[in-house]
Amino acid sequence: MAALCHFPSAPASPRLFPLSRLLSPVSRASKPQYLLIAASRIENSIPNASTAGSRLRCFSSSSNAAASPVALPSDERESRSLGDITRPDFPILRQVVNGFNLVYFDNAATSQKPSAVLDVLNEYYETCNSNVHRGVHYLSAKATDAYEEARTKVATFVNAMDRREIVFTRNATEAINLVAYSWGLSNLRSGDEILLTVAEHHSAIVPWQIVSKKTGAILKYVGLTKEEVPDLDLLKGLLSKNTKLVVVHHVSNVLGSVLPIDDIVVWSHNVGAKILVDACQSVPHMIVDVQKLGVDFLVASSHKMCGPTGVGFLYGKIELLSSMPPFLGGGEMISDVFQDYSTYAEPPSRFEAGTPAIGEAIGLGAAIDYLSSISMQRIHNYEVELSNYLYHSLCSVPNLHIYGPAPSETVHRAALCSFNVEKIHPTDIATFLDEQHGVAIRSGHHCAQPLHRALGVTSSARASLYFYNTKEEVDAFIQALKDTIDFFTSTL
Amino acid sequence: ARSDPWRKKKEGREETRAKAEQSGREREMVVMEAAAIGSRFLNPGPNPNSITNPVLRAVPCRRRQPRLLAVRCVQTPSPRHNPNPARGPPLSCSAVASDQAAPAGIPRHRLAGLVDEFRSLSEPLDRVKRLLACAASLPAFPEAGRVPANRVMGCTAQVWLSVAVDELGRMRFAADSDSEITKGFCACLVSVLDGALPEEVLELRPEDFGDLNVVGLPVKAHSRINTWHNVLISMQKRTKALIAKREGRPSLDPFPSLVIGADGIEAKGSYAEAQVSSSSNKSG
Repeated sequence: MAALCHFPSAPASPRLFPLSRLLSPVSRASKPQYLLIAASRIENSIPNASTAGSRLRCFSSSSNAAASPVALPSDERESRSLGDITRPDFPILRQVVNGFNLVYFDNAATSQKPSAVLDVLNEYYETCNSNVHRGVHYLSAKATDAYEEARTKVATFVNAMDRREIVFTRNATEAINLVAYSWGLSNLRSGDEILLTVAEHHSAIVPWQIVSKKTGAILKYVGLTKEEVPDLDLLKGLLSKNTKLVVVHHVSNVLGSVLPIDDIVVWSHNVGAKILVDACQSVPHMIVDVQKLGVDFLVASSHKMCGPTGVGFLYGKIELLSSMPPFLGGGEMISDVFQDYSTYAEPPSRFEAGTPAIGEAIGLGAAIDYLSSISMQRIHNYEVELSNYLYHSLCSVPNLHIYGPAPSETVHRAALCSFNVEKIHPTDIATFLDEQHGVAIRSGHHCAQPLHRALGVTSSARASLYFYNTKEEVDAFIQALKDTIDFFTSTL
Repeated sequence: ARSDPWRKKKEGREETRAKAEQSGREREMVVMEAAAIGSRFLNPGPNPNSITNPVLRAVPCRRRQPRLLAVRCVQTPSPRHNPNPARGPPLSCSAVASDQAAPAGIPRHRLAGLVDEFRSLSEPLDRVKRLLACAASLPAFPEAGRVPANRVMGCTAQVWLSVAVDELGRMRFAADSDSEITKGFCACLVSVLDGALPEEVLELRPEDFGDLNVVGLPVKAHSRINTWHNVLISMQKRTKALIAKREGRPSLDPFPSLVIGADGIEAKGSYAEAQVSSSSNKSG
């Protein structure tokens, strides 16, 4: 059963109109605030998407999977947003939550996966699953090739010089721990300093606390300016000949601010310090070029960039990785094993003990293919638009404070806003938004307790977007938020 | 004159008679209550909270010996008698006044009343409103109790919980939170468990509250996001510790969770302790 869907409450938008590829109405949807349009993919908008192993998902039995694009008037075709175009690739976004169409605004926590990635995962397990680097038979060779091809894709994606500079880990957290236990324990001594900002994610703080306890190194923190960004003058001032490592985020998962990594790298190298960049919130959303940035270490997680959970990566300069002792011991990372000692493999194998998340790494490769087919520049441009729209829409809500810098010509924010509403706890807001409106946002400290303490709050609410979100969804979110605030102010 | 011995005797007799009358009334109430309870248990209707005699509803509970399990004190009014269930008192979750301790067996009964009350509200929004009304009815938490030892760990809202044993060996709870919805859950927990026997506190399971079917309870798993589940576990863990202390037994060893601080790495963590307590609940 198919039905025509349209946006009843959105302002007259030339982008949205009924199309041939239709959604079956979901019977539970009792109060749709707005309805999704299933858009046929317009081939010339996404040149290579169809080659990424994707098949158009189809709920309606009557239309064909690879339906020919609807003949649209050319100006209408161009005015569809990237969100409208890519949404059909994400089956999970079509669901109904508590009677409302899902508005998923928790992308900084994890992203959704396009069918292209899901198909590749399935295909791996159906056709070439086998352990890697371990067998001479056909399946093993296929799996190994696919796995190593994924490594090459990641290296190309961040413009590493050498594919051996990419180490697959479980996630960014494990990658930071790898650097802490491997590089940190063998390079840090009593009195050495590690410089961080108060806005770091816990995964970028706790491993260094553990290592500094063991080595006698000291942690120093860069605080915030009144614009609620890390104070770069303070950072420069805290750098000294004792600083051995600088650990900074690229994009803050709470403040939405972006640090000038290329400058920080220069300052750090000038005092002889290495630098590790937490790129979890940047790699999925913009072009990240490790050559241009000049970083020593960089970490990111697959699941935040349309890839599966269970895999992430560490980028490290080859000369650094070559000098580092192993992190975890086991198979793959050895060269020869005797009873009383072993010799170790070269990087990256040295740091990949045990059977890796083979399918997942290949899935990450597929995610990179998908993102590249859209182009990271296009994703970034769209998200700047979305970010401004979200920020300014939230500004229209009274008694609401957004953390981080205000956007401007020179200050770009990520497409996320952490905020608090006076006198209403963020948990209450998030719970009500979910229950009464099907809107998913995050509440809590977002794994950044020191940051919240620096901001003077215990917790905040956070809405974080990705390229498959739309301005219409932002409108629905703002409407739901206003309704939520009205409810709590009238009841309390 | 006060010192008149005859007057004293008369006063004494009057006192005695008043006491006798009082205890007679008490016995009468006990009998009536027991009869009402008996008929309820013998004829389990769809609404176990329905009380035929409205007089009993408002009767304050008398303290009874723990062994007299047949005696019940009905404090919660039937939702049927509340013409406007979506608004205002009387609420099943109104916390018990601090000078009253309930007789044995009440928690399950109160919980059943609470579940009925929430179930009678078919709109999720009404259940949220009811939960917020429960939050508003929670007595003010003493500032002196807002100490780290009384924090219940969870990552979305701050919760404080105070636990004490009264002179009758019953557990007394008070709670507070900066999130209204969480506070509502705390109010429900406190209303069910305040004045309960330690074993009654320990036998309740988080799943028992799932029947409230109110917002914020979709996560059934033992997860740090499930704040009110952490509160119940915390109530149980601290109950066990207090009882162990009273009986001179050593309380359970804390789970060796680590705190990395300036002074060193030490074992701590009330959340982890709550985890190990809940898993050893049956044996503890």
